[in-house]
Amino acid sequence: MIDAGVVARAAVVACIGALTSWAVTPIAITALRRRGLVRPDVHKPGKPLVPTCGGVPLFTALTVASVAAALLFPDLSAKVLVFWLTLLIAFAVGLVDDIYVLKGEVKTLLSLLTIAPIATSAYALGLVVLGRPRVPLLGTLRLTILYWLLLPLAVAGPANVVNMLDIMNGVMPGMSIIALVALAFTSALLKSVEGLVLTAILLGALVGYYPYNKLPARIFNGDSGSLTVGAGLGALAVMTRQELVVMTVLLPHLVNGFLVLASFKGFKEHREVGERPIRVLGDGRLVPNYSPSAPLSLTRLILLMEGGGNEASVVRSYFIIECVAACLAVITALLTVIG
Amino acid sequence: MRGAFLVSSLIVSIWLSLLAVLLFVERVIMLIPHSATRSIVGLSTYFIWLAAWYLLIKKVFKFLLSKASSPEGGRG
Repeated sequence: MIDAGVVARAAVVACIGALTSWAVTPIAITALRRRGLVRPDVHKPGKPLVPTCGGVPLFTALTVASVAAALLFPDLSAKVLVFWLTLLIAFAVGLVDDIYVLKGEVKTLLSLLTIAPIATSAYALGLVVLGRPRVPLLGTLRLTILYWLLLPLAVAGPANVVNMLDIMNGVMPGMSIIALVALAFTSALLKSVEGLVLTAILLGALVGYYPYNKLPARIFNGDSGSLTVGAGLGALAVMTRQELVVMTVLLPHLVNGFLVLASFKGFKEHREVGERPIRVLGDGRLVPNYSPSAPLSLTRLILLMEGGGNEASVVRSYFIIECVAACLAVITALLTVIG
Repeated sequence: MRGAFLVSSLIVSIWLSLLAVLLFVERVIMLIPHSATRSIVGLSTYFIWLAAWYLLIKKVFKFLLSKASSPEGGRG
């Protein structure tokens, strides 16, 4: 297991991130509302306007936590810098999309740039080991072609699937917190100090931010928030060789993303989509779209099973599903250690 | 809760099948001596796994849609 001193320092990093996002988010809410950066909350009766660009306070907290991590773990400062640069690119792409609204394909293509800091650090500096994912029962996987084919998507993929599941109040930070708690355990099991530190950076910032985004949200994450957090999870996977563990913890996101992409036949910005997978009734109740041609999504599947529901019940379902995925991720890490 | 249970069951099944596919590719397909054949068969296996899950989930949707009726009166 990891030394108790390392765990304590990682906890300090998480606390600094949490305090920063908790303190900065109310300021951001006021500033964003004053600038008119607001979006209607379509799942509420009356569709109240809510400030968007939650990525701004989140990224601020991630930056402060990254500085703290670099100071408390000087031997990991180069890796923390690579991680922060990845977050910066994702945040920049998301912020541009929040303000100017990019086309779905453009946003996805730009998000591919997020792999640049990691690839550079691997090839030019040898900081990161690529192409050796740890898997249960097998040790290291020999993905000779597939890994390199999928590498450009290693960060952009998680960034976009986390973004696609950022559909209701609190879902993105709530599910990410559950995922990151599991990743803290898996990092400890796999004796990955950098895994624990990078997890602490993300986890702290999200814990301090969650109270403002939970139902009823006082701020929306925007693409600046969801792309940044998703990119952080992808970078954590590649940089700590926990590709399969992170893939497992993101299975609900990946299944949803795959269903949406397959039924939309490509990347589309949600504003470009005609038929919706779910419908919002006048009283705020959610029902699945019963049209056979409507796009597939996990929310539609949940609502089809339950015959409708409300935002709170769907959010609760997602948290239960993410808890299951988190348990599977811990089992994956345990099997990797045993194997 | 039924929705969460169904999706959770799907997630667990996908995870188990993913581990099975990874083991199969690593333990069986990686033994093929010819490199190009190994790559084609390996990639095809992953693709078939993905396509099978997509078709299965689509079937689940079709089944649920055939059972359900809109609370607003009528389907479609």
